Amino acid sequence: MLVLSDTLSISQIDNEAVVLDAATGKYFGLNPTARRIFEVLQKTRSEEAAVDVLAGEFAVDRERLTKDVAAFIDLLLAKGLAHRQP
Amino acid sequence: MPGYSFAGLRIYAEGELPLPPGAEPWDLFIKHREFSHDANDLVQDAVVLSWVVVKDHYALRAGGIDFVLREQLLEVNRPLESAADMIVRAALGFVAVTRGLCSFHGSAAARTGSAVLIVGNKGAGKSTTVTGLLRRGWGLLCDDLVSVNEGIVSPTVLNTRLLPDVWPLLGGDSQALPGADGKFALSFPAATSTRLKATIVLRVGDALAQEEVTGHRKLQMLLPHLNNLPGVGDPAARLAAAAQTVAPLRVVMLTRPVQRLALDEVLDAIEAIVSDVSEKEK
Repeated sequence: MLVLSDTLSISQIDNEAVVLDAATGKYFGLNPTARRIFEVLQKTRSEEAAVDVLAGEFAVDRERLTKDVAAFIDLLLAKGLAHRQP
Repeated sequence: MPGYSFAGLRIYAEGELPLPPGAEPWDLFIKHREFSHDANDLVQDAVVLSWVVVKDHYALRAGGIDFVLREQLLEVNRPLESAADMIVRAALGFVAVTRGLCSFHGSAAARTGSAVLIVGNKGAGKSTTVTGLLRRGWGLLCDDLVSVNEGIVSPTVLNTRLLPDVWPLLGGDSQALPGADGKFALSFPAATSTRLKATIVLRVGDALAQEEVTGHRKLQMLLPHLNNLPGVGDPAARLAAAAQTVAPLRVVMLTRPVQRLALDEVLDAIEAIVSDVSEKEK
């Protein structure tokens, strides 16, 4: 299970979606697609379930979507914004 | 279906957010913590402010919380008004934080349905600027502590505190003596609760200049001026609330020259900014 840090919040400020981390004070900008992936991951807590949801929302082939979601999760883990739970 | 364009996580800044400093722990101590977390607004809190003298202490009741000023900060028998001026802002700031409201260290005024919030570092001229607006017919919403709730600013502290050098320039009595904090107080009639149209970040620099601030830079500019109480409330929720509060605001960084007050130019610029926002909304 993928768990996004509970110190994160996401806000739309003008044309930027900004993820704020209250624990570290860092903030990150997301493009609209990445914002949606983030929101779905927050809800589903699962890579596979997120791909299922997003595949119904975007006109993109599943293979590319799976790859992008995996890359996004790797980045979230690397930045300490998420962790995996068994 | 929406278009798909994946660019991933983009880092705007590697540094830390400019989180606001915490309230000075020596300002007040809290006698009781039995208070409600229900949504409330500071107008009601201001109305129910009451003062009592408990032995040698001054105590302030605000929003169901009793605040007691530590005796080393206050000479016994100091006039109650002076004590009030020193601690009422801090007490209201505490109430705002505990209720999940965003409150800024700044000043606010309103005219014809438009409110403006002025923030800035110490000495930037917040109170002087807002007093200048009041002399142009604006109504005072608050000086020092400005609570913003869903884009609305409600009146709270209805006097401005001015440094001695600008006191006579803005209509103060030349015979008056400053208060306990070395500043003079001018009282003004209250404006009613008003929607915030613009936030001015006042700075001192080489020359008069203004710059629109958008996106994440609004947070960079405004978070340092947010009232904060470490350990009270959920930091993530407070940060999210702050972002939600500042997101719809028009934020302008206004630089005034260090060599002179340039008050009229600053006031003209602020009135033009607020007028521009109001026009665009029509």
